[in-house]
Amino acid sequence: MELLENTGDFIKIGGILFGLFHFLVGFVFYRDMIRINRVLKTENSTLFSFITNLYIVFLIAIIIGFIIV
Amino acid sequence: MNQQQQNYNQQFQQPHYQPAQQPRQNYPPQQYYQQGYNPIHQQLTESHQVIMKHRKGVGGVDLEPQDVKFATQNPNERIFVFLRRHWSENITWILRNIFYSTIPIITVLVVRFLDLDTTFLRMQDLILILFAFYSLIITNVMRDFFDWYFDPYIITNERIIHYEFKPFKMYEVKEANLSDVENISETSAGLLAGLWGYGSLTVTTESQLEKDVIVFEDIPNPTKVRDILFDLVKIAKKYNGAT
Repeated sequence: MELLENTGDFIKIGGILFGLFHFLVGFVFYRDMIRINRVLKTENSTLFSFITNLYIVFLIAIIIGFIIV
Repeated sequence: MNQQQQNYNQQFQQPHYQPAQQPRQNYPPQQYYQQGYNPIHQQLTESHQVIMKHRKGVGGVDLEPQDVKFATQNPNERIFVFLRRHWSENITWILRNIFYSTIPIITVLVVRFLDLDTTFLRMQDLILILFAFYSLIITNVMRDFFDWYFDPYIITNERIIHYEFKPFKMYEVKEANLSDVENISETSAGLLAGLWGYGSLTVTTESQLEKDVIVFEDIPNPTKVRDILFDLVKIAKKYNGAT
């Protein structure tokens, strides 16, 4: 019963840790995307830069969501 | 020397095309300037004619793309062919990610079927867990898409370049001069390859080393690309080292 009462805390802590780990992974991906966009410019480079920036913001929003809720 | 030849000389005698005190290796010999034409211009003109001949009927292959540039592109270097692997390469990861995205629905159905107690989970927790799960799927989709999208093969008037970008894993660039290409072989195997018309080209250079082999994997219209590449290699060898 005590374990079940603390489920919300477990989810919160687990979620924050997951969010941080995912953010680190996503940041590596973001950095690789910046590099490849510098090396190779295609017709959609601007769009992909925007999508990658949005993706990082989304990852940060998940971490904030776990902290706030 | 007539007016046209004079114009060629004036137009193309830029500082870095001037013969140095000690000419570089493979630099165009003096006779080209004495004859009054620039070999780089000539090569570009002939290469352009090869590409224009293939303008129609090369679906899935971008000829003379306007908006593509790469970091080590030389001033007189033009991209003639830009292509990626056939779109059917994406079917596997699309289906895989569609399956992953149905996992929450399957979980809900299983929980209801087994009549499990889920009252310990608040609605906010469920929503956050779903967000976290779908963020993983989004990461997966982006990784798989960019793995395909940023894996192009570029053929210019000087060289062949293959960028291989595997997110989280590696980034590799292979290039070979057109004048060093010795052998081009085409392979098209499998039912889907025959159905959708894709195949592979293996380009071997003079060194014959495995690491210097460039493989155009599962590209659309491999026969046409092989034809274009062979014609460009012939032109490059004709002006061997002129660029």
